[in-house]
Amino acid sequence: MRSLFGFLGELTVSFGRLITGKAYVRWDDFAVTIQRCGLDAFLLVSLISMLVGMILAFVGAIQLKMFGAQIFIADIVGIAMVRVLAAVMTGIIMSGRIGASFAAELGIMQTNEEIDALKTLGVSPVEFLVMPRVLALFIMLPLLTIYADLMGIIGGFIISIGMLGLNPIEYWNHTQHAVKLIYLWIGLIHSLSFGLIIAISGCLRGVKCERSSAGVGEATTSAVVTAITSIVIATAIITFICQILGV
Amino acid sequence: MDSVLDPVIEVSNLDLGYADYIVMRNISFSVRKNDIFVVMGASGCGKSTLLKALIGLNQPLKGEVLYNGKNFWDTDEAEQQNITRRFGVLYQGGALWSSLTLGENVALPLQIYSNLSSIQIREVVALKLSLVGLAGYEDFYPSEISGGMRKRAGLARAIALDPDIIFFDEPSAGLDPVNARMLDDLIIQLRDVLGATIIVVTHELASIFSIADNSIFLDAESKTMIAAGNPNDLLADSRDPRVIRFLTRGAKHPNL
Repeated sequence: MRSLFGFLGELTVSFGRLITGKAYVRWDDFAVTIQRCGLDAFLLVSLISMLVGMILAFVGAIQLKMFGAQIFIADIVGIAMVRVLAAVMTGIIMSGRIGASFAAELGIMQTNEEIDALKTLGVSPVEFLVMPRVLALFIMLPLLTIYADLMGIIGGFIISIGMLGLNPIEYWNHTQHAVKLIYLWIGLIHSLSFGLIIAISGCLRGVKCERSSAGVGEATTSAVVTAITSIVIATAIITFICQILGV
Repeated sequence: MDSVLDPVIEVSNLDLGYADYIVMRNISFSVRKNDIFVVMGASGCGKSTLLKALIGLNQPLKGEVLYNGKNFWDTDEAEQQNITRRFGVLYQGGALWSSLTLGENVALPLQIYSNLSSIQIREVVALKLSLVGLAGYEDFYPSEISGGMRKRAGLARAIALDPDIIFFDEPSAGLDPVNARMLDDLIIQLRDVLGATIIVVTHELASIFSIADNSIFLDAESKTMIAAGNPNDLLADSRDPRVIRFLTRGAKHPNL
């Protein structure tokens, strides 16, 4: 816990230095991470979120059929994806893809004394290595989530139209009506928090990694476990707050 | 004015370790300007822990490390950075930043701490790499070169800012005898050309006898230093069986 707060403190100081233009950040890492979060993750995010949209449509259909209200599948898929599920699924995918790779990369740098070499040069590893990764994920996760929203809705659409025989225009109108702008904001708040959670878990575990191959393995596992657990807890907290606020 | 005999580094009553575990205690020595100072001892005796306390990575449990009279662990972070800026460190495996090319590795300290233009930096990088026999390797990544070359590239980075003090952590580890000898020659050359003070942590006897002006011997069992002086003198005069055993690779010695 102490190391987490120390790390968050260092990250805040580094962010302050970044804003005032004093930070020495490796922007190449930022660009590489953006690419890995974006282009390289597209296929997986498309597949998973479309399938989740399809599953929701199937599950919803079983119940709604009993009441002859199948068209409300559009509402269920739209609201669930945009409010929370797209962000959670993207978060979990990125914990495995990016969080784990952050921990492994930084862990190996720790083992190879690369982080020590930065410190003796007077360069903060948090500023140089962690900051670009956190920023990249903080920017990319909301963008990926919006894309996943769309894919989920398309998944639900395909099942509803292709297999359940619903009217496409009616489905689209229902979706538009059900998905309010505030839900999009709630989804974005989820994804911004998840971006921070994944990047911080991955980088913290990497930087604090023990100097051995077993240590790197442990850091990687623990980064993913920490990120996924934190994502679920954060979702519960955000949902609870939304409930209290009545949104 | 600083005299050549003035100590650049003074270490007194240093205790090293982690919270409740002591690795070494009561270490005191001083290093004169322009000396090649060797910290020797068996594997796992705490040599690297001592090095980490000297280069500012691990705070000692007790004691002082003075650089030109300034107590390193008692100054603020900015002053500590001013002191470490004058250091060059060659880590055991080279510790090159793996996502950067050799050229970028050597250039980074220059980009941070010098006002040189990018063209000048490129020239200095080429010069430093050629000094360690790696001319033309600017665009190679650390993973594309051999262990010995990584070490030499690490040295080129360590001397990028013409440091006053250069630290070497096990420089001959993992090198064949010819390359190890070349690195020893390079260490002596650096001392003479740059006028740097050099601290070497090692247990390679051939290196110790050929480069050291002065040394200390750390003993794992008693957890402290048990000898100090020029290694050749220690071999000739020491009566301590642990020191002699180490310096003669475990062979018997007529003095004992």
